[in-house]
Amino acid sequence: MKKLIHRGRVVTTGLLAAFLLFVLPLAAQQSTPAGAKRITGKITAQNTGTAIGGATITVKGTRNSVQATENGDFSIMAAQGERLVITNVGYAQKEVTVGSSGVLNVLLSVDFNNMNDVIVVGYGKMKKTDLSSAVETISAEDLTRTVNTTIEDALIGRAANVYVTATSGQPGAGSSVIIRGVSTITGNPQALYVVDGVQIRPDPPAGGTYNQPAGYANQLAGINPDDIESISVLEGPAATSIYGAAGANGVLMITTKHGKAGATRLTAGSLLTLQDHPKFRPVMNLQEYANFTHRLQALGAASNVPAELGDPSILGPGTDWQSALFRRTLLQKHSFGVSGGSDKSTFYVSGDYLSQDGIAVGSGFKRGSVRINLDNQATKWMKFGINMSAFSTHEQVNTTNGNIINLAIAQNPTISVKNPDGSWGGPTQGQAQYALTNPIALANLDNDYNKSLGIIGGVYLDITPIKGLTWHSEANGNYTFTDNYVFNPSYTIGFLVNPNTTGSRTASNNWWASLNTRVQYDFKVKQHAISAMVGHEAQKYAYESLNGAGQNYSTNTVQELSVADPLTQTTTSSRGDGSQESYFARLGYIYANKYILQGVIRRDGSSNFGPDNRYGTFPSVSAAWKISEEPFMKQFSFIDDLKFRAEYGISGNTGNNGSAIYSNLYAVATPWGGGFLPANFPNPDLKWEQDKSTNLGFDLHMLNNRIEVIGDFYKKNISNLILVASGPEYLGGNLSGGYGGLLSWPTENYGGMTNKGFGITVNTVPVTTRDFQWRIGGNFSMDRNKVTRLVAPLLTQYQSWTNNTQAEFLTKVGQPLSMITGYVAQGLFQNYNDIKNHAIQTTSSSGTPQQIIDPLQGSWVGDVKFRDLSGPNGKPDGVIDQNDRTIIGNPWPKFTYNLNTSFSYKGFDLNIFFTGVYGNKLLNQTRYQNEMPLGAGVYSNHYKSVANFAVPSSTNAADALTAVLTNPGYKIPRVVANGDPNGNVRLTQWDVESGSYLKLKNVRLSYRVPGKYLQYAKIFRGITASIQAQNVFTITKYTGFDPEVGMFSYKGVTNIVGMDEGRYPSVRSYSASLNLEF
Amino acid sequence: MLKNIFITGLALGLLVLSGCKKSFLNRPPLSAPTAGTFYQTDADILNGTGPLYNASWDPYNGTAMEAIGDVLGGNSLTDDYNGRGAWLTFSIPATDGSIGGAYSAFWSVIANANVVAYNITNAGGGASKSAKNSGLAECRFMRAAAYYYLALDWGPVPIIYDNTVQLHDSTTHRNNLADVWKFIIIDLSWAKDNLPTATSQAGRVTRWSAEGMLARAYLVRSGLNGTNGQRNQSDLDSAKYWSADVCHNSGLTLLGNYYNLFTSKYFSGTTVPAECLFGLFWVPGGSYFVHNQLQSNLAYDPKITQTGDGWGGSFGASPSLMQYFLDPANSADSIRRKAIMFMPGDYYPDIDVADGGWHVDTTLFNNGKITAPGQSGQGGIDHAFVKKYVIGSPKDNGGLGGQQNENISTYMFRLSDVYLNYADAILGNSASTSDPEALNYFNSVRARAGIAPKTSITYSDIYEEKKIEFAFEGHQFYDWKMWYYFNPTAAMNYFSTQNRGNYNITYNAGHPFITYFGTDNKAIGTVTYNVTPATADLSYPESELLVAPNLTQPPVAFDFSKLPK
Repeated sequence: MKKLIHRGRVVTTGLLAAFLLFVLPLAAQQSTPAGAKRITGKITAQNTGTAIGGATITVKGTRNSVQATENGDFSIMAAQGERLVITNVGYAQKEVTVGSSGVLNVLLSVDFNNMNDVIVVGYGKMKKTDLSSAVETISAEDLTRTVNTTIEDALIGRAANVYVTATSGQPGAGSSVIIRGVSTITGNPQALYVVDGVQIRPDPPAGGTYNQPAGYANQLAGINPDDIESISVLEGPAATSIYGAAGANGVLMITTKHGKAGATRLTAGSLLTLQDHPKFRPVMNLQEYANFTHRLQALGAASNVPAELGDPSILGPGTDWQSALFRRTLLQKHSFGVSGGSDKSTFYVSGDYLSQDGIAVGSGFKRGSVRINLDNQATKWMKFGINMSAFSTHEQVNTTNGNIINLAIAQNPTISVKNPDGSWGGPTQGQAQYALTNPIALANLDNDYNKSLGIIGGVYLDITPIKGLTWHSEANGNYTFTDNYVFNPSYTIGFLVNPNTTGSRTASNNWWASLNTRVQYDFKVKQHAISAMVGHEAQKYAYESLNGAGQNYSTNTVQELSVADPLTQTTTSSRGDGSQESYFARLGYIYANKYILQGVIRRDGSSNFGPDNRYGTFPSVSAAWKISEEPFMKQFSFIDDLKFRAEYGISGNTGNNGSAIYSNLYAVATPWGGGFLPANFPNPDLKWEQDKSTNLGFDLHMLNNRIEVIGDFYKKNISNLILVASGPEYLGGNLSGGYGGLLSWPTENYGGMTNKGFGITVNTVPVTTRDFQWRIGGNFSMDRNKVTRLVAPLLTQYQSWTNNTQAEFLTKVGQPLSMITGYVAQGLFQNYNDIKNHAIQTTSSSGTPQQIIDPLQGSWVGDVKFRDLSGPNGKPDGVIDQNDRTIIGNPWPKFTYNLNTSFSYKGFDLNIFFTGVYGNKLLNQTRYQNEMPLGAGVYSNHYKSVANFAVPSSTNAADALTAVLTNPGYKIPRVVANGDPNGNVRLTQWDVESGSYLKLKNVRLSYRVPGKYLQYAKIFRGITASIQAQNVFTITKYTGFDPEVGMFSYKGVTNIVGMDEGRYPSVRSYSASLNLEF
Repeated sequence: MLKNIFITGLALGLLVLSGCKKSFLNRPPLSAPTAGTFYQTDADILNGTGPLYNASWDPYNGTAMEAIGDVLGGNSLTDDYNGRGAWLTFSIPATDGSIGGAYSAFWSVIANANVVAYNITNAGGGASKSAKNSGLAECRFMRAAAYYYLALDWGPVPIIYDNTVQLHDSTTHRNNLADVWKFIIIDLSWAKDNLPTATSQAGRVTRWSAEGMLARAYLVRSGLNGTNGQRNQSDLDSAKYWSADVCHNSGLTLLGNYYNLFTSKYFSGTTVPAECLFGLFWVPGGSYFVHNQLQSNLAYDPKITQTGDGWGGSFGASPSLMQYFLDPANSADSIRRKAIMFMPGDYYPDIDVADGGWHVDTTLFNNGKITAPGQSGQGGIDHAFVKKYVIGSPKDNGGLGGQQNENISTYMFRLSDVYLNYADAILGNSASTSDPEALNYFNSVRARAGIAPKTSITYSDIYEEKKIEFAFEGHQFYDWKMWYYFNPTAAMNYFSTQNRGNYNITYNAGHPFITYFGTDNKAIGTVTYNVTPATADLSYPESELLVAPNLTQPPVAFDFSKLPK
């Protein structure tokens, strides 16, 4: 023990020493050139005349640099004739020459579009104006405008052709981020994130009652969005191909904040958010439920109706389970940052604590993170640095993994949340067999959570032996430990007895590390600017997990396996690894600042492929023409900058199954000992996928940069697409085999896909005066996806929580990925002739179908009339069967659009952000289940609309000719006590709704206290207070909780889009925040 | 100068660029072996075929087996949960979950059998030829067993002999039913020649298992396309020959006590009665897919399982099964009755041992007082709940088991089936037989049940005997289908007049009798549903037809020359 403490102390001392090493040079004296004198001055904004605080003033060609005070005053040693470079975020860079006077006042003009920004691209940086590829940038300012738990939340609506959907509103949950259309059929469609060189490809969000992941947060959830300086979204092929195989889905380059030379700056902020509950689903109250149950009983479809339901008229509203589950809760976030440094060393240290109580009982997310970014210019020719972030997250997932939201919608109102004695309310004896459990009790009793601890960071070394030549080496890595705890205790709730305690603990870790070295040489000869880079990178990743599970705990108070019944305990472990080695080169050439040409090539070798197919080469070429630099354009003086871009390149994909080339076996227990079964059909010939993209675009800046227009058109053609080559079941494969006697289909280079679309971004500053500024901007995107080649149509049957598999999603050639399929309902049968003259409604058999008009064995008045669309020969055949199942909804938007506008007046700033999606369809699975009479079981509640179920005038077979529908005009079919002879359960277009929406995503009003008031409290440099509302309103026809229904990965290999089954909703929230700068 | 420095720098860079070792990119899976390195010894081959007895069959061993074999077969009642009432009414939609489960299980068995066979064929040098052949024979036995179910359930189905080769064969169609049976017979014949007569590991199939199955396959095929109730004599002779070989030469015998067949003490782990020719062997301590889930679906009261399951209150003996047992002529058949179903007043000392055994409460059967009602609105239905495979809590069964996990194996094929098939093969196309050999084996099944022997037997005697002997073992529909092959009129008439409604058990001076609910669920009457040639075969799962529309096209002849030699 003593030794441990000692070691801890050593580590602490070591860290402190390292920190001091970086900071100490702060105090070091700077040498002053001969003839230098003190120059003082003030920096003011040209348009408003107000002082600009914090600008950096550097003597050109030296490392002599100072920072202006809050009042814009500065003081620097410089000699006459030297040039001072003044830079400040949001203003155009300016150079002035030191004259004889000791006073130098500088006016800076607003740079509305940061034309001089340097953009982070793959393995390097580039001036924004020198780009020849489609790259979008998202600034820190954009990211912090909305209230975000994770980075992905912050990306919503910020860049064209980046389609972000929060698949679950579970706090901390990862989102689906798709850049330029989905690029895979059975793989991971997520973009690559490069966080200061650390490559992270988060797993796509998983979902579904029978497909729940242990946790919903991904590795990005550990990153504090406040630490981000900028995000570059690499979309064009010339930009992504430097990542070769990893770049196929687009790349998000995330750069964190670094310190700046000058005075040490402290910031501290707090945010408090009140989250509202969602709009509830319209289910029956007690009185309506009692009436409904009595009607079922009369039809022979309900027995054991509780006596207390006897007279509905005297009943109250009963239990409203949704309002019992959803609550108004708080999200709070506190953060601090310290940054500063000298001309040699800079530092940025920050931390945040975020705690979000979920709006549903039993859910929540907490994060604590710290970051240290240090940079040191050790000598004239050597620079090194380190960036490191450590985080801890805690994710409570009772609600999502206990299917609590669906239970709360479907639980009947006769049961109380709690009994008068304080115990949980449960079903009566008569209901016990099919009764649902008490969702609120479950949310409280279960204990299902994940704890993660992670480190992400890297070190680098730059050596510049001669001007323009940089030899850059870096080592990056991330390591995440995750502990998953599941404890579901035994309970007795009313007459519902669950005698089984089940629990498990899983400890897993995964890491990724890379080592890359590159040599970059930039030089300029007359009008020719050349930039060349070659590099090498080696990556390795691995994972391990250890799991123990047990049942029948001797007590519910100790949640450890030590008290589980030893005979029920199982342990298992697994691990795996993979590697990649790459060479890459980039050559850029700019002539006369007009013509830009760039070539990139990368060669990747991956452990995912066999020795013969291991390496793939990914080239790209791009060109740009700054037409505005041409003499003939000078007459159009209102154009500041106009650039046309064209690019072509090939990216790749390794697939996500490193073992597809092997014939894997998996262990299966037998009474004779451990056995092994084949896990998959191997494909030793698997090779690289090729994504060939073309991009045409332009950048236009005009009217003194007050209007910026960026447009891009792209086409991506994917060949040799790696997919799980599924076929008919008789071939014995399964989409997610490798367990339970199921073999996985082979992974093959069989598929093909095209994506095309365009995106346009417009940013304008319509009004700018001394005190008032109005900015408005937005983007518009269209992405079209089409599958061009497949082994066999890929049908994903979704298994809902009621075990229904009617929700089916079809991917076939000529269509976008994952279309919603179902039947077409034409109404309900009104009378005998209506049935007689219509197609036979079911094939409950093979052979020749027969029309049966019968209340028990066939079709009857009040049954759903399905449209006869097709038959075995492609023509309507008078029988409703699988041939009549058709595509009833395209879940992909026709276009998406976002609009952001801000008004600032003196210290006030009002920001309004709209986001919209148009033309997609959503499958409202929750409504489908709860609108079927008897659909979720006899003791379930239903939507209010179910009360309008069809009532035939007779259910006696003898009355077939005369029976009529007594309550026409509704869509709910009749109630059949035994079976569903007409197949009314089949999903139809009635359950598909428009997913278009326009959401006022955020409104924020902030006030920055003017400097003059701060003089009274000298310790503050700035105080900003804000109030904001998020998800203010949504204009939509969708009837579920929230139309923002994303894409999720189902059973590991297929992707389901636009299906809403008890999705954890995103809700309206109100926030207040205070940010202090010292 | 500049150039020189640049070159120096580049060289320096290249120095660091010196790539990784070749092995850096070689990353075989770490958690489990691969086929290329695994099958090296005789023991490895046994470990490779062992799981063919459980995991792949898992989706079948549960609701699918009960739904097809017993509910559709007319031995079991059910409620309408998830639309399963359709199995009573012969109106099963193509979207039914049990259809999907069974279909997927059988094809998984075939795929696993084919891939394991491929792996064994290419096994390393350490494995002996006899071990390899025996392993291959197990694979072919499993493939034949799965095809046996597929053929009887769906009729013509595609013959899959090599999944990898056929994966991209777009010409695959359904094959003629006669070819499917031929394929089954070829597999079983090869299996019988290569399986040992006894195995080192109890429960694995032997030469006798294959011969018994072969006889059964011949017996089924004898009726294929039979006219006027006549079967093919040559196939009947083969069936007779191979059953006789098992009866006379195997040395296997029936377990003395019928009840004990369905207890963990006699049939779990590696304890296997000689009577079990083919079974599924579950592992209570293993993962979900090697658990026997029958009891959780069948037990009528959670107090029986004590693991939170026991959702079988809606299942129960069908009226036809009740009629048999309540018929005074069969009152002696109480050994099997007690093993098949729970009747009022019965006592089971081996269930809930801790509380002194399980007494079946008579009040349970008084209308309106039942604790575990069937679904919705059938007034309060009574029925005799299912006993077979209901064995009680883990504590009652050696401490092993848990929720959806009972400590017992599943019979797929028992020696008594061979006995009855033998009698049937001898009966052949005659109306009745008094052949001593036939009577001997037929009556030995009855003798164990404690009931009187018969002196002359007809086809319907054998059919009835199977109905009772294998009740709730997932057999009945397949036996019916065998009959339907050669006498569709009689078979359809049997189902179409079979009482499939609900009933109440009432007592008259302590003697139970049953009353039926009619179509309105109130009046006393008989509920029947018509079966037609259209509903005699199951429909293909709807999802499969969307992916494989070729299944709706007429079957074609199979080219047997494609089979590997």
